[in-house]
Formats: sequence, C-alpha cells, structure tokens
Amino acid sequence: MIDEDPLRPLLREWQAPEPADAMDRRIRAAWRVAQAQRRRPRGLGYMLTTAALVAAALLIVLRPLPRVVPPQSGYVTRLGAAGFQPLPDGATRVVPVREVQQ
Amino acid sequence: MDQRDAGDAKLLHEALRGDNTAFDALYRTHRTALFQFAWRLTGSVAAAEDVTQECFLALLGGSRFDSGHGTLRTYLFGIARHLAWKHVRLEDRETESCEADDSPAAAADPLSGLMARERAALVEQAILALPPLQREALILSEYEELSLEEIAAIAGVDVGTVKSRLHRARQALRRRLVPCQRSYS
Repeated sequence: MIDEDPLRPLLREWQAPEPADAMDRRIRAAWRVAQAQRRRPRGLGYMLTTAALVAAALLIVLRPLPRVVPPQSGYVTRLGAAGFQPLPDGATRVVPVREVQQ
Repeated sequence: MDQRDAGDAKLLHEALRGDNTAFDALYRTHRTALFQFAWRLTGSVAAAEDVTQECFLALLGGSRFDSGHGTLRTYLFGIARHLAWKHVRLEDRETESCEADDSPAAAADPLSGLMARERAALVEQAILALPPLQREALILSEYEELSLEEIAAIAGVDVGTVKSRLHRARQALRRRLVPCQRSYS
C-alpha cells in the first residue's frame, strides 16, 4: 500500500510556497483585460470598414438614374422630306458655297 | 464527470460570458495547485506565477476546453506541464532554496528548523535529480494527489506508463533518501 510507504512522510518535508496576493491581483486584472478584448466585436477598424461598405452599397442603389422619355405617338419634326429625289446612280457633285448662297 | 467537474464546467461557461465572480471562484479552486505544481517543476516563483497566469488566459482562446475530453483540472495541469517544461528547457534552473526561510519548514526551534530545512533540501535535490518524466509523475501523484488516470491524461500516456514511471521514481528516491532519514531520526 502506498500509505505504508516510509518515503511518503519524508517527501512531505519539501513544501511549496503559497501563491502571493500580488499574483492573484495580476492574474485577475489580466483576465479582465483579455476578456474585454475578446468580447469587443472586432475593433474600430472593422466597424469603419463595415460602415464604408454599407455607404457604398447605398450610393449604388440610390444613385439618380437618367430620365427616360417615353415614346409619344404622332411626333412631328420640322424636317420635311417632301420633294426629295435621290441622286441617280449615286452620282455626287461638289456644290460651291457661292451657289448655295445664291 | 463528478459534481466538482460539472461545477467547474458551469463556472467556466459563465466566466467566458463575462461573469467575473465565476472566474474568481474558478481561479480560487485551481490557482494554488497549479502554482505549486509549476514551482516544483521549474524551481522558480516567477516562472510558476507566469505559468499559472498563462493557464487561466489559455481558457479564453486558442485550444478550447472540451468537457467531453476530460476535466478542467486535468486540462489546466496539461497546460501548466507544457509551459513549465518549456520554461525549464529555456532557462537554466535556479533553485530558490533560500526561500525556504519563509516556508512552513522553518520551525520556531532553531535546531529542529535547521534539520527540517536540511531534510527538505535533501528531498528537493533527490526529486530534481530524477529524470523529468518520472519527476513530473511523482509530483502529480505525491503532491497534487492526482489519480493514475488523471496523470495519464495530463502526460498523454497510458496508465501503465504512469505506474512504471512512479515505481522507478520511488525506487530511486528510496535509495537516496531512506539512508538519510535513518541518520536524522
């Protein structure tokens, strides 16, 4: 049996120190700091990036679109094509400016 | 999982959710054993304090405790063991035997106090002379009073290996210490 081991009382002579109060304070403080960092979502950088992405998406969705004019029936232009005669065989002629002015 | 282990798991869950009272309760339960285990392995109060701190901070991140794979106590001792050996490998061992002045071994009677300190120093030297894995098993068994199964879980070996290490460690200590014990008595 281990309890009858004559070694055991001798081993008990080597006693470890008790942990110091300063260690307790240090570890409790370290835990609170680490816990706070862990529970903070992802930091300021993450929040700014997310806000910028949301703003960009809103700008794209809500941007002003060019006005579309619906086609109207009976639209009249001021250009009259009456009396138009195509040139025969596609023949072309250079008209000097003074002839046009005359 | 016994009642204490279930309580530990519940306290850890609450502590991770920001309950500082739960953390304090968990800390009070395990801090002395972890500190003294680390002190016996490293021989340094400063290193033992660092190891104890890292053990508790490890609960917040990295590898998470899983109650399905052992108790919180063995999990914490496993981390302490890893960190303490890391420290022992990095640093030359500086035995702080001079701190024995503040230890309970220093009795009121100067002569008996002196003899107690000498015996304590002899035991310390004999344990430190053991091969590291035998020393670790002996400390966990004799001083932290862990079961063979718990020591096996902490060391990552089977129970038979732990028994063998303990047997060899006790044999070596008997050879070194029992003659001294006779001379003191």
